[in-house]
Amino acid sequence: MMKKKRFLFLLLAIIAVALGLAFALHYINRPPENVADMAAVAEIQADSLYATYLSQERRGDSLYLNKILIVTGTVQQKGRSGPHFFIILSTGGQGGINCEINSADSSEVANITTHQPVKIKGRCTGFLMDVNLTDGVLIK
Amino acid sequence: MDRKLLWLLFFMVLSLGGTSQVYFTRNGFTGFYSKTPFEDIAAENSQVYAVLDLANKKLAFAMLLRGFQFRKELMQEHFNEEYVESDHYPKAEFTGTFTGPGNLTDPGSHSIEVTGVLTLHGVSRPLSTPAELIIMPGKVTATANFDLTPGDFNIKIPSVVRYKIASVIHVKVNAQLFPR
Repeated sequence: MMKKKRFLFLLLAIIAVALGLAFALHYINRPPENVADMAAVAEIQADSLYATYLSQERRGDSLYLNKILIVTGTVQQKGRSGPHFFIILSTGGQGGINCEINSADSSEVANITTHQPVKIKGRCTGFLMDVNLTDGVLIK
Repeated sequence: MDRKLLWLLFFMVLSLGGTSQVYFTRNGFTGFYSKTPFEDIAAENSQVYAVLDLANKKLAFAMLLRGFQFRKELMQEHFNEEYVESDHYPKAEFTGTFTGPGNLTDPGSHSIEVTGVLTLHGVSRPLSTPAELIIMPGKVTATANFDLTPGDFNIKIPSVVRYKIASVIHVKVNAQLFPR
C-alpha cells in the first residue's frame, strides 16, 4: 500500500515538473504578440502624430513609445526593404509616418496606391525624421 | 543624438562640397546575427535612414534600436531593456567616408572601403569595413557585412545567458538609396 502511494506521489511530481518545464519553454520561446490581436491605445491622424513628436519628442514618447496605435493618413510612398514592406504616410511636414508592414499583410501592400487613404495599426518605436511604426497591419 | 542634431548631420552631408550627388533612404535594412550551438539569434530593422554623397564620398546611417525585430518576444525585451537599454540610448548612428578605385560615380559595381565612427549604447568607436556600391541610373545600392563585439560598446551580457549569444555578432547592411 505504502509502495503504491509512493509511486503515485512520484508520478504526480514528475507530471508537475514536466508541465512546469513545458510552460517555461513555451514562455521563453513565445513569438512576438501579433499586433492585429492587440488593443490600440489611441487612434490618431498621421499629421497629428507627427506634429506631437515634432514639437515635443519626449511628450510623444511618453504618450506613444512602444504602444499600439491606429494611424490614419494618405500614402506618400510604399516599397520593400529586404524581406519587409513599408508604407510612408504623408503628414504635411518634412517627415512622415514610416510604417513597416507585418509580413502576413505584405500581399495587401501591392494593392495600395499612392495618395490612397489608409488606416494602419502598428507599434510605435519612436521618432527619427519620421515617426516609426513596426509590425503594421492594414485596417479595412 | 537628438532629432535636431540628426537633421544637422544630414544637412552637413548634403551641403558640403561642390556638385553633389546625394542619395537618401528611410527604409534601409540592417540585420544582426548570432550563432552558437545553443541558439541562433537574428534581429532585423528595415527602417534604417541613410544618406550618401557620391561626389564628396561621405555617408551617414541612423536607426532606432526599437526597430529591431526578433523571432522571440523575450529576446526582443531583453535586447531593449537590458542589453542596449534603448530607453536611454534609442538610436544607433554611423558617419563616415568611403574610398575606392576608379570613378565611384560611374554606373556599375564598386568595391569600396568605408571608414567612420559607429555610436551605439552611448559609446562611439571607429569602424572600417569593405562594402559595395552598385550605381544605377536613379539608384544606388549599398551593401556591407562586418562583425561587432557587444563588449566594445559597453553592452553587458548576463553570465546566465552568455553561452547563448556569440561573442562576435555579424552585421549585414543593405540600403537602396534614391536621389534626394
